[in-house]
Amino acid sequence: MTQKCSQRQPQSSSRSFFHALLILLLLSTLALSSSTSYACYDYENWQVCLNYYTENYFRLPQVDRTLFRAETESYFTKHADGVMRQRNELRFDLHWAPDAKYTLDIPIQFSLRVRPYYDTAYDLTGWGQGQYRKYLATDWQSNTNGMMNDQYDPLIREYYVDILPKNFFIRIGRQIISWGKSDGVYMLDILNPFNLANPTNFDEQYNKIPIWALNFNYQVSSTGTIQFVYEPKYLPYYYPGLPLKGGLPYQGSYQDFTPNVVALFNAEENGLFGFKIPVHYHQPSVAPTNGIYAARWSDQAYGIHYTLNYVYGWTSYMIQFPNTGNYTTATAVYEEPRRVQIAGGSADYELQGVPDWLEGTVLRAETAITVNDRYYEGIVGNPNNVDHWGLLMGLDRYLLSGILERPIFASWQYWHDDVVNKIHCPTCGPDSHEFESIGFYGSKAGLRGAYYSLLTMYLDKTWGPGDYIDTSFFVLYELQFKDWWIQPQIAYMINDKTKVALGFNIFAGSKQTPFGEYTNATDVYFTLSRVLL
Amino acid sequence: MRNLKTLSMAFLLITMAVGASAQGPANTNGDIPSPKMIAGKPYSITPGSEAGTYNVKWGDQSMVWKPKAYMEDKYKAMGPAYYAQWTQPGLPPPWDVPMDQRQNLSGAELMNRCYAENEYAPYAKNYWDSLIVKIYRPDGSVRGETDMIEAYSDMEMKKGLEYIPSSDQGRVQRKYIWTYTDPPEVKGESGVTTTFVDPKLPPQDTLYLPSVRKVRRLAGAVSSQYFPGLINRYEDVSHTNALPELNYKVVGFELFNPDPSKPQYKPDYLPEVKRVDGAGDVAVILEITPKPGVSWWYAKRLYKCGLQEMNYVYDDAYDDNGKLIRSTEKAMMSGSLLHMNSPTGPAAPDWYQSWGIMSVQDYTTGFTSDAYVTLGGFNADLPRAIFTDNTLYREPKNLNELIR
Repeated sequence: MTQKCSQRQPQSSSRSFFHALLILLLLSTLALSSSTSYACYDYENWQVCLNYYTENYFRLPQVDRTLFRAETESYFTKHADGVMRQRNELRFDLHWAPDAKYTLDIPIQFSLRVRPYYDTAYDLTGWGQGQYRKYLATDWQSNTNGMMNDQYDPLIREYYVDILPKNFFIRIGRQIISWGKSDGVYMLDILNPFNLANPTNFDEQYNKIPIWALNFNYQVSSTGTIQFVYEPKYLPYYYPGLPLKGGLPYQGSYQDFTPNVVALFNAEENGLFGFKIPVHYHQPSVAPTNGIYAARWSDQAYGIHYTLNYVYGWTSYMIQFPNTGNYTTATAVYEEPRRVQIAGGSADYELQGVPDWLEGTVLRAETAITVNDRYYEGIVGNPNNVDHWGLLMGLDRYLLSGILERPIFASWQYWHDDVVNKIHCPTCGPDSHEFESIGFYGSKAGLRGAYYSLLTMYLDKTWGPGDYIDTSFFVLYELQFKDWWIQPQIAYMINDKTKVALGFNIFAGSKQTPFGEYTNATDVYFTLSRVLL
Repeated sequence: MRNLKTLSMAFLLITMAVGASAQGPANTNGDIPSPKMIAGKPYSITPGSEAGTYNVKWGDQSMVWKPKAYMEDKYKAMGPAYYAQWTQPGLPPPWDVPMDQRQNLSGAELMNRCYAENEYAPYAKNYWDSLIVKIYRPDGSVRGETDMIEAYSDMEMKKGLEYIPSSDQGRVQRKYIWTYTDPPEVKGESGVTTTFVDPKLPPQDTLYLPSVRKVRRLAGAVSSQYFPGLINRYEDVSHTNALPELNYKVVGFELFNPDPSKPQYKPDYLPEVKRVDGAGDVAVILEITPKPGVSWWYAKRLYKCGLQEMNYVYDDAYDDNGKLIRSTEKAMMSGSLLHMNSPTGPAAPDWYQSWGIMSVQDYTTGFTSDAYVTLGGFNADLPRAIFTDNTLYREPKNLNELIR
């Protein structure tokens, strides 16, 4: 059934490639021209900013990928090639703060962030991701194709108005609302879903999907703030392999960061077992009864900065429910979210008046109980109702402060997720007390237990006057799966208008682990940002 | 009823007038004599041989004060006699100690008065400004330019108490908030500094990064570290009180005669940044050294503060080998160039002070820097929770948006 297919088509894409090269050369010239002047254009109460950003990812391992082809209902193997991503993005920001005399003396500010992008990797049809242009380009090449992509990577990314009566902060519109005190792994930061097309980018204002929300904050005291959030529309996490056409997934696992479990579900639905399983997708409509409601109290006491959080929302992901309640007999799938309730809190505290080796260390913690979530259980993978407890503990401090001119910022985090309710699933097959992780591809190696944990370490050091060089090193290690993600990076600010960065994403671990599954996506990347206006 | 209304209005006007006059001593117009003695030695100012110059004598030291293009008009006209306004009785901290006793203040107290109180303005509810920071390469070309906005409040005179909870009264001494507004790579980056009453506690900081839109608490005691993206350190910017890691000792006094080879004292250097440079005042010299076992960016710092204006004017920092590693010039901006209530509000009383301008020469790298106020003032109607994460999250784009 497996078919070897390693032919390439460089001729057909050479023009596009040279166009892309030309653009890069032009931008490099711009980048090297010195500039230290103002970046945005300010006129009276208006501010306009225009920047260019590009990120380019190239696979390092020279490997073949074995993928499922829906048309033939069979696997094939093809050389993966190197070009993973060449996203070119314009970042246009408009900000207007009308004179308060026209707004009843209540300060009001309007903000708009437009982000048209175009990924030239899909024009290189003989290389890397471009080989799967037919399946991927519609969703991942651009957001200027009239589709607006408003579910995950919108052209008009954020647009909101801030209404600021004294001691109030009210933001209405499409926006990002960050909660929590964690980096790279998340627990309370759940109001914005994530776009996982490139899960290696830490820039959360890039990979978070903006939500439509009423974000109401009242500053009850000089430190205490009560926040209410209403989101009228539920947006799920968006990931490669999710979109459907004609009731069936059409991206298969062609995108480099398609999780194994998605690839497997897609293959099954596209005829892996000799018959197709149609998917009925149902995203909740916009209605008050379908809204997401959240509240948070944040304050400081005895040197502790803390928050208390509550969300009445939906599962982060769309859940695939077999029509028979059991995947072994399913003939159709209903893809829809379920209501969840999440309650938790966060806190941080700086140690003072302690022995020198501890002095100044910051302790952070986040915790949350999620009730009525759904995890896919056992080898069969029937979605089951779970209540789970999350805990994140972080420790930050500077290293070598007394030795280095610019010391190293170090952050360590422990994160766990623990299913706390009793589950009895007679139809979930072997290992029914374990759950499918995102690396699952049909065997026990891809299952996680009720308790699942990981560690992260982040080191950052700047160099030279003005901190113009920044080096960082991120490591994530999963304690049960024993898989790794390592990201070293160096960034250089050439001048006030231009910044470049070079880094690597190194994945290791067995093939069905959440990060080991991306071993073949180990890559080197280059980014450039340039102020145009 | 109509009479009652008129009477009420009159009462209101009288109350406002009394309120205004209660703001503090009158501005000087040369009617406040300069002290005859400073730090136990006779002090005198007499007209110089050239028009606009003054001969200043203190003990056996003397100098000729000359007007310069960068000087504020009133200071330029009055010469060092201008400083006398900060010697009159009835002034609030940092000038509330009589002139004849200022030389007896401890090193730590002088540090607190000459920089922390001077900068945080305890006599006002709040101080705020916009500023520019320029970093220059060793060849003098501009390496980077950062725009910033900031606001301060001090609890010493209880003027800023509305910005802290009652549980922090007696515990928190000062609050400071800053935001970068340009260039785009750092735009929106911001933070809050909290300084404590207990002198044994180092200040605490938070940092907001727009890329993640989260506020993180900085792993403590960052006083000696570089302020993000600058060649200034937290010790230069917001950790300006006497720090628990350092010893402060008075080692002498001098008639402050700015070295014309230092950038900020060159007559044509940034002439549009009007300032008062401390020339002709008697400066107390503080020796600042790390406490035993503390590793700091310098082994010794000689820090000068004008005793009349109680303003930090200059310092040299040395390494373990006694090598000069950094010099800093700092000149204040007086109240007449600042505003009350809003960026377009009336001028502040002249005796109010802002930190003004700070120039750094880092001899190790050859890089230098200028930071200076472009617009500033006092007593804005700030929201009570301005020094919290909410303000950082809003990412104010300019001074108006910070102080609303």
